[in-house]
Amino acid sequence: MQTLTVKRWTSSLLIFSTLSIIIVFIAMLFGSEALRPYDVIKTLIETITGHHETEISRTILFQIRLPRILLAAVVGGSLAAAGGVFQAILKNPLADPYVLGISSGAALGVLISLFTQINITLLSFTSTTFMAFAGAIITLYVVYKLSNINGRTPPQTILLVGVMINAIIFAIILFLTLVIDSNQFYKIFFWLFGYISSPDYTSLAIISLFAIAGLIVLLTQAGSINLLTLGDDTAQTLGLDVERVKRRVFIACALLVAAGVSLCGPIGFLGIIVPHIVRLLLGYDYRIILPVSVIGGGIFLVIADTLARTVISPVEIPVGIITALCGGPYFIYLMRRKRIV
Amino acid sequence: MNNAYNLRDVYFKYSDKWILEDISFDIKNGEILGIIGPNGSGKTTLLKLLSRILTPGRGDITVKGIDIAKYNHMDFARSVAVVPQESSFLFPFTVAEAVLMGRSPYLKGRLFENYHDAEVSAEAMKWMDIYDLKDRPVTDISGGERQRTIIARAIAQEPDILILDEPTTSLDIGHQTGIYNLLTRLNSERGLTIVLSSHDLNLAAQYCNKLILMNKGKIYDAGTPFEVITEGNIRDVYGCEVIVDENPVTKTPRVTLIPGETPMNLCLTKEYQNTYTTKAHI
Repeated sequence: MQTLTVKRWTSSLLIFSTLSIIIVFIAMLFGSEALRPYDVIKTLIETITGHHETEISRTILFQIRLPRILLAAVVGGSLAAAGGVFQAILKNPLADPYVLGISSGAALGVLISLFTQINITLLSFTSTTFMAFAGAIITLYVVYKLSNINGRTPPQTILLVGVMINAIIFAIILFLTLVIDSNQFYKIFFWLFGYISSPDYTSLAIISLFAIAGLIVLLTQAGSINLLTLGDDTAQTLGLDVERVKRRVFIACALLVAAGVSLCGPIGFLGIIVPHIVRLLLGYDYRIILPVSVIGGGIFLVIADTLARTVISPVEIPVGIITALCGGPYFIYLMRRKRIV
Repeated sequence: MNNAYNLRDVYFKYSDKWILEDISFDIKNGEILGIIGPNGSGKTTLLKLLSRILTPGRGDITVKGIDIAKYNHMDFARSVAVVPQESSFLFPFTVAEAVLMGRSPYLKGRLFENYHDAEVSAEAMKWMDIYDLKDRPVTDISGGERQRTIIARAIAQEPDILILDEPTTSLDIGHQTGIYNLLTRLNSERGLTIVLSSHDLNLAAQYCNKLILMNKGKIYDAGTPFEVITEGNIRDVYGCEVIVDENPVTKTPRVTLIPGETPMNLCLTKEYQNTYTTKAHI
């Protein structure tokens, strides 16, 4: 693998961005019987040329399919980025956004907001989104504080504390799900597996805002994240303020995870698999792995969600089931064949 | 001109027992200082204090006349480079990538290294004779090559002071002398101040201008190799009988071990100690 240059960076990003646009277009073609690929192309052409003959097609395409595809892209990109970063910070190639309990924390926040039936909307920020972020941040803070030994946070300690906190929160989630109103049980059950539905454009915009904020922070820290893979002490002797970088990066990851979980629930496997595939293609420099993982995660989740809404159409399955079914075996294959772990 | 380092009454502890006590010494610019002493005598801890990985519990450390705590992280990394005892790589970066990371303290918010950074690290690789390996993953090369990669990374930091913790412990004698010769060249041609720890008394005596002998967290003796490496000092600190004479080629002290004369209580192997205690319990 060649050393990273601006030229290689730009060309890789261009290739993957183009690919993602093509995938989004293809994903728009598929869906329930009501709108076949032919109708989609016809509607798209009509929209571009300004003839509006098929109003229903337009509604299905732009109010239902497109927002859902975009949501999958944003959430997939966020989770893949957060996963890649956690692998570096925790010095564990198997780490993902869920390992520290951040997503359980976000999920618990969402459940509490449903349970208490508080429904406040402030500047279009619903209480659910806010509670998801609060849950993620509080969990992260607790894990970080409990792992802190004399001002340092050794990766193994964070990992162990995180796994325990995750188990505790998950038990609380299951308990709440049992005592919660049975009408909501099915919905929550779906959501706990990771389920993408068609959002309105306002929620999509808010989620994107969270995601973009988190991603910008991570991208500016990509070089520092490279150094963190060498170990905290070495990173420090190379001029890094280790704890400050960790805190920044953790908060950015909490934003990304909370954004995803608040609407789609905890979607598994993506955060582990996507960065690994990107590393196989492009090497180990986080300055390229991070942006490409964002695009790759988006592509992965868009494809998975297209499968989720079409394989046994008109019945939809939680996308988390698809990511686990595809991701798990593929990951084992990678692990055995390429010895990536 | 300020000394590279001044240490005054430095104490350090991890929990409640002092690991280092009453450490005071100076390191002059351009010196090669060797820290020797038995396992657990505090060599690595002392180097970690000099590297600012650990903070002293008491006492003052100044680097080039400035309090070590006052440096910001980037400035410190441009003055002091560290080669740790063990280097782990979570991912198989290439040799070139690993060395280029030594330029991090100069990036100042840039996302990519520039042409100058690439030149400096290419030169560092040539110095350490690993330029041909630049596209190989660090996990695929030998221990000696990997150690040279880490030293090249440290050189790419363009520091004034280089700290190395047992740089040649896991290497064969060919690679050991290879690395020490390179360090001597870095010292004489680039004026680098070098601080290293070593278990090999002969190599330390041969390549260092000054030695510090540590024992049980304190400085037992310090001075020129001939002043520190004496039969009496080695017997007191390591518990081994040795003959010290002069190496006819390098004119430095030469240590020869006399096997049978070692007092039993000090030279018991760990396994033997274990069996011994177990038997005592029965």
